[in-house]
Amino acid sequence: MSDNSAHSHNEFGFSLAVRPSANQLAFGNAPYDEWISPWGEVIARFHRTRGGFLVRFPDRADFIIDVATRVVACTPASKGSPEDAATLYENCIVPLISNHQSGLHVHGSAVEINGCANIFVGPSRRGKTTLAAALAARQHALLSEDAVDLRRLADGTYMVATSRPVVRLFPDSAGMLLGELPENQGSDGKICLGRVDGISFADTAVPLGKIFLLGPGTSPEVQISPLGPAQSLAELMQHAFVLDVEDRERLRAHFCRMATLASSVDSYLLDYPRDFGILPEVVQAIVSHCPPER
Amino acid sequence: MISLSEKFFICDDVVFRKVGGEIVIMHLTNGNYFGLNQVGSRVWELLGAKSPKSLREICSDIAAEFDAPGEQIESDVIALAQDLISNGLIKNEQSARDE
Repeated sequence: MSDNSAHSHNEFGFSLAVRPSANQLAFGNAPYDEWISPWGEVIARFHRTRGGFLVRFPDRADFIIDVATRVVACTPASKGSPEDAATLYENCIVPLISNHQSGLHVHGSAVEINGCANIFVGPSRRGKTTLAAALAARQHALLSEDAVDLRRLADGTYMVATSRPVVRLFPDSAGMLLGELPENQGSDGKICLGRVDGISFADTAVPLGKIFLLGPGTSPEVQISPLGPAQSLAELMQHAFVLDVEDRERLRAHFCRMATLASSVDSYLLDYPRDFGILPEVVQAIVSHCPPER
Repeated sequence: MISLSEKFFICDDVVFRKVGGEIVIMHLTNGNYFGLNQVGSRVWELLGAKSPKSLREICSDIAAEFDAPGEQIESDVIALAQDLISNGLIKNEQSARDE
C-alpha cells in the first residue's frame, strides 16, 4: 500500500483503493458501534454511509466499504501512515468483510505446532502476538499474527489459512526475542519482523488443532486448563469481527458458526505471569500440550 | 411476581445454541451472553417447546428428569425465569400479545 492510488483484489471479491493521506473530518452521523480497548480508548468507530460503512480508526485511517461496488477506499490519517493503514486493512477490514460474508475470522494469532494450527485468542495487549512470535522464533511456523482465518471443510474439520509473513511487536517484545532491537520501527511504535529476523512463517494452510484463550496473567505459574464448549463459545464471541452489529440475521448466523467451532475443537484456558523471563517455559508447556498426531 | 401457571416464550432478539450439553444464549440487541447449567439448559429447552408449557408443567418435567425435591425445583425455576425476564430473554403470554 502506498500514498498513490492503487488497487488490489482479495478473495472476497472486494478491491482496495488507497487514497492520499488526509485529515479525519467529523462524520455526518453518530457511530452505530465502537471498538473500545480495555483501557477505554476508542480503537474504531463504525458509521453507516449511503453505500455501506465507514470504519474509522482515530488518527490512523478511514476505510469506506461500499457494498454495492465492492470497493474499500482507504484514506490514511494525516497523523497515521500507509504502513499502519495496510496493517489495519489486513488485520481488521478483511476479517470484518469476511465475517460479513459468512467467513470465520477470529481475533487472535496462530502457530503451527507438530502439524496442527493452534490459535491464541484474547483481548488486545493480552500477549497473543508476543506468544506467537516466541513460538515462531523457535521454528514453529506462524500462520497469523492478529486475525485467524478459519475455513470449515466438508468433513467438519477446519483449516487455518496463512496471512502475510510479518509479525509486528512492541520494541520490548522484539528485543526480548531477537536479543537486539531492529531499526524498522513503524509510526505506531511497533517493530515489523519477517523471515530475515529468524521468524518462521507457514507457506500453506494447516489443520486446526487447539484453541487457547489467554487469561489475564494472574496465574503465578504456567497453567493450561480445559475449557468447556459453552465457555469457549462465550469467550470466542468476544473476539469476533462483526461489521454490522445491528444486522440480526448476520449476527445470528455468525453466532451459529462460532458455536459449531466451539463444539468441534478442544479449547483451553492458558494463563501465565506476563514476564518475558517465563516465555520459554510457556512455549515449552504449549508444545508439550500439542504432541504430534499418531 | 411470577406465577407457576404462567407460560413464557423465548424473545425474538435472542439466539442460542446447545454446546457441550449447555445452552449459551446471546442477546442480539445488547450483545450480552448467558450460559445455563445442565438443569437451566433443560428448562430453556422446555421454554422453547413448540407447545409452550407453564412453569408448573416445566417443574414437573424437571422433577421427572432430575433428582431434587419438588419445592427446590419450583424455587429454582422461578428464580431462573425471573433472571431470564430481567435480561430480556423470555417474555410471558401477555407481553407477547401486546407486541
